[in-house]
Amino acid sequence: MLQRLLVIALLLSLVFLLPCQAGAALIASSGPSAASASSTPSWFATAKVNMFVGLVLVVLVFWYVITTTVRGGKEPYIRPLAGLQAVDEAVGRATEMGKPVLFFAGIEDVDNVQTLAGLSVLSHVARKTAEYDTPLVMPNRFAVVMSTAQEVVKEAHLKAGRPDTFKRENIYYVSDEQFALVAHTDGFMAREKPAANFYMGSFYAESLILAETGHSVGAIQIAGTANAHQLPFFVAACDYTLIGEEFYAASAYLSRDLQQLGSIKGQDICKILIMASILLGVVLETLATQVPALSFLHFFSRLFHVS
Amino acid sequence: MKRQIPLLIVFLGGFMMLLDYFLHLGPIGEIREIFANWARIAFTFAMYLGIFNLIMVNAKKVLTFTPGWGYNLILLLSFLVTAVPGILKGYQTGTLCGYMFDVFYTPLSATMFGLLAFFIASAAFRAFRAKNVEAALLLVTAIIVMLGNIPLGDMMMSKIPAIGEWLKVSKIQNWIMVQPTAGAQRAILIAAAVGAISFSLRILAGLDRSYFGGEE
Repeated sequence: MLQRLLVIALLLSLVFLLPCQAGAALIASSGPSAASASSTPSWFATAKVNMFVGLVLVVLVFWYVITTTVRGGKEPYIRPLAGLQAVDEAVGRATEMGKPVLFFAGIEDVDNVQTLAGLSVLSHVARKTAEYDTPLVMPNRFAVVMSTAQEVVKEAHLKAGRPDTFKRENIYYVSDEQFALVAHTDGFMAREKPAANFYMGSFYAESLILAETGHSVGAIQIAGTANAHQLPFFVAACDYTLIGEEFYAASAYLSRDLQQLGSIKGQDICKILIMASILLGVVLETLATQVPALSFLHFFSRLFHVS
Repeated sequence: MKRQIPLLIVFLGGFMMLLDYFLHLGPIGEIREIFANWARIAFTFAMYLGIFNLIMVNAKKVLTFTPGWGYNLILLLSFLVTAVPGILKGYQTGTLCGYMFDVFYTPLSATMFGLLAFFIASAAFRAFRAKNVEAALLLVTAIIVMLGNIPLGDMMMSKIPAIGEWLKVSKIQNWIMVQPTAGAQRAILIAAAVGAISFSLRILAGLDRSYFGGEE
């Protein structure tokens, strides 16, 4: 229902906004006198029209692929992700060893999409720990993330039929300060020696400090982040790493829900379109640069200019 | 209903932000400003509530000698020693609060950050062990990049007859960083951006509800 609303709203916006944008472009291209005559402020960010069209295209692709996937009723093939397949193994290991599981959802607030992706993975991990009756500990940097995580874990315990084993105090606030939080988490690892560590979210300088401490206490470690500059650290220090898009796909992959799996397929189609655009752009730009008569081909790269 | 109302709020909130990004319409900007003001007011009251709560919880633990009460006492004392001079004299450089920030907080933070150097060394030691062809390739590349970043690399190469004159490690290092590394990083970034859009759309459309508990 909501996805239909989203598609309809975006399409309606496109229908109303494109003529307006075309008119603005016409005025701008008809010379300095016409442009100077129209001084009223634009209600549409004309510099962002390419992004808007791109967004509508992406939404349409997703909508189409999700709809066809659900209609087909067949689960699309998604490449196995070792990091997510190892979730059961990691929680099982912690259960056998009688040690807690540590979950760290990065150091950004809940308005960061990576934190939300981390909380989605938390939902699945918490369900496993609830089923196996293993303590799940989660130190937090932000109060809103903490409250959200508490609700996520509580729901997971309810779904696993173990509401009595939910411990709110295991998901706690530490400090807004990056390194104070890291010092606490490292201390926790050194004292309690968790058997499985999950690092899922947005990370900066603390990534390697956490992952190396986790490695030193012998924990099985699974990390996921879209911060490209921290990925080498996680790859070097963790057993499994979800790289960029794999991290965003994690909750869909774990849920096995047809609609969500369809969105991953839609994501792949968008990537194919982007790759085709890059290749076409390289060819057209090369031609436009090398052959003066074809300089008009620069228009293609201008379509992607972002101001 | 318990599920539908939060989903609707997420949808409306997200769509409003989306519209605000593309449109310069007065009412949308005003609504965003109203939300921002609400957040500021809630934040201010939450801060007073938080301070009150912090004092009450920790004072109770100290007074009842709960195990670990010493840490609670340190927290209370640190809070008072920082807050009182800060409220009375401000926190700029030259004030007591600024002094404590420069002398205690900054070195403690720098100490934690400084640990990173040792962790990089230990992680690199493990990562660069030539266990297979890929790891060996990584090791060789890492050595070239490290040598290319210091003058010693070019100096060593210059001692090699015939090729030393024109083959510079710094140039190879630069090529590795600018061509294959930048290309691979951009591929990861583009894929991650598409993934972020996909995940955001799943949230906006209410397909992914695991971030607030569940699917039902």
